[in-house]
Amino acid sequence: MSLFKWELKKIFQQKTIYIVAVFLLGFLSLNAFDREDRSANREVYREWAGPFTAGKLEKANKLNEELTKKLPENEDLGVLSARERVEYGLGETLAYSQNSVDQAKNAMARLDKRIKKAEAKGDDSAVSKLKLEKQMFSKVEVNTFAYHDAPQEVVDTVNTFGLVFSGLLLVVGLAGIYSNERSSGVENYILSAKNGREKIMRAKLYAAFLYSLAVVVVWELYSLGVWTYLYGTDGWNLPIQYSFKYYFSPYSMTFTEYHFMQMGLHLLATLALAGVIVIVSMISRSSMIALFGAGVVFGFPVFVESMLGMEDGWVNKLLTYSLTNIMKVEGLFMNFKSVSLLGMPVIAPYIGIAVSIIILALAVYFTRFLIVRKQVA
Amino acid sequence: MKLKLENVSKVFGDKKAVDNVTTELTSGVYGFLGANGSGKTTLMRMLAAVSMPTSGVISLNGEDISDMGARYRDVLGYLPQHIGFYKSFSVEKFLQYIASLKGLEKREAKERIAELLEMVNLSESKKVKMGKLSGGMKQRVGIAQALLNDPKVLIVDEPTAGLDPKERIRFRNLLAEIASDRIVLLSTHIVSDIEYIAKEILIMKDGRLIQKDTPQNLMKHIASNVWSVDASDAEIPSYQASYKVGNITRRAEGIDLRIISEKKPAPQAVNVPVNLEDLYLYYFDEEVGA
Repeated sequence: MSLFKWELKKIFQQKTIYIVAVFLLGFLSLNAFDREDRSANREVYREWAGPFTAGKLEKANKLNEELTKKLPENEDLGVLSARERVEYGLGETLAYSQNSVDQAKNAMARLDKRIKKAEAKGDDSAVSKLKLEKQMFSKVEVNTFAYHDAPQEVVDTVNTFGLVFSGLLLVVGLAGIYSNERSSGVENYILSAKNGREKIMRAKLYAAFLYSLAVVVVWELYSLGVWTYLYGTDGWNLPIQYSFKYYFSPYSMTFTEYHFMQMGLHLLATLALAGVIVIVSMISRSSMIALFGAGVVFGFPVFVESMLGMEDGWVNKLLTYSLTNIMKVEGLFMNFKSVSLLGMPVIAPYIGIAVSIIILALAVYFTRFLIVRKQVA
Repeated sequence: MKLKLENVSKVFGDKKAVDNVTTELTSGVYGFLGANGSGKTTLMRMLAAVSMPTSGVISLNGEDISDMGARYRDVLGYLPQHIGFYKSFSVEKFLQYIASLKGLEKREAKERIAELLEMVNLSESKKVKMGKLSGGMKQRVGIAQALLNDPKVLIVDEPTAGLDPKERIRFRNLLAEIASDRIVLLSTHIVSDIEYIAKEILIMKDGRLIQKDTPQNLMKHIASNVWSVDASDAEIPSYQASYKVGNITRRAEGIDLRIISEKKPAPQAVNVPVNLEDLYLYYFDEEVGA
């Protein structure tokens, strides 16, 4: 058996990864299946799907008025049938969608003003950024309506369940990749063996990357399966602006295009995190320290953001490009974010890709650097 | 084949674990003798390439082993002092894993594992999980793994710990057998491990190499310092307080004390032939291990 297969076997025979995976998948299932039946939504939305027209909006508002008359004084929607409840909310939903169209137009107008201001100040860097933002907004088209619960949930799963699943499984599965050998004493055999340094390092890295890929594939397939089963396949061709979180996004992408982009970025950042965890494992004196260290690498940005509440400070801006936030992906796409490099604005997703690749390359470099110098404690 | 150590030192913080060791080793068994903390294990680790000298050079046939890297490790077999293993691996799987680490081809590994399991008397237990083995059995797996790649330099640190007397003899004979064309370095504080098989004994104390010679010459060196003294029960404490006392043998006609001393300990004391236990006592003021 090749060293790669041995390393893969060692990772996959850890019982804890299966316990954590089953627990998390169970949690996603409970969360997904413990929701109200949305089949009426799908049925009604399908009837109203298609391009926006003033007529449609008027019709929806009229329907809303009729149903309002049916309601008792306390406006308890319980008196309406499931279908009627959806129809009652349709006017609001369509209005929100119509607002998306307006928001894109308004954004263009706002940007024009800001460009003029920046030009007046002679701030070339700001002008370049704003022009780029305007150019991106000009391509956003939000003029078609469709049922889109499934893509909205799938896309949202990446930065919630997907992030936690990838992060925890990587920490639990990879923290021991080197530290377990130190704890068990097998390190002595390994470091004194012909292939016990660089070759096994490569095998461990490849195994860690393949494991990371498997982790991402597992939760993605599960997420696609669960949400498709519950909400069908409608809406994947809608622009991402139909998801509330991406209301202000300047990226002209359908849910399908965005999800591919999302998964690519998530996977790249996950691979980089795997590389960092391998280093943490290598330099840790015990498996517990490695587990804690890997947990800190993954959880620190979330901790800083949620506990310290630095919403607009420089720490927050820096943390936008932490591996954990790149794995979340949404922060790079929800608004226009860019960094000036040599006077040229570079948009956040490209920075995310570059940061992930650089961290991945550094992780591989330092793993090699450390392994040729590694000594038993 | 020549393994050379030139001014090799290893420092941990402000403690010099190995202090400026210089020596040359050629084919044959070398016994490293020393008390706990004498620097044997640290020196063994540097020779096994799992630790690096703070200063000095270790070379094989004139080439620095740190430059040789994988080429040096390819000719190396190492049994560390503490046997490490994966609890969930069977004996056979564990050896297959080590064979992969040593770069053995699948077929070659299979044959070699079968051969070595037979040699260490573990063929029947090859499917047993490592976590279920007794201390002695683990030690035998450790010996098997060290020999997997038919090493030209074999380093074994306290190899007979946990082995029963029969296994210890078997292992000693094995080392003697294979040492004709390779360097075998054996670290121990059990003198009987090396008494009959060591070509030379290296005595380490406080990190320094204080003696290196054949067992015969080393014993000749202290020939006039080993005494047999007839004593009564009441006299034993006073001898123990003043001298290094080895064996205390009770006979029908009285008690015989074996004393290591440069001067005659009692008028009735007589010089007796030296053994390696006496040598150990002479250099280390501690109890003899076995």
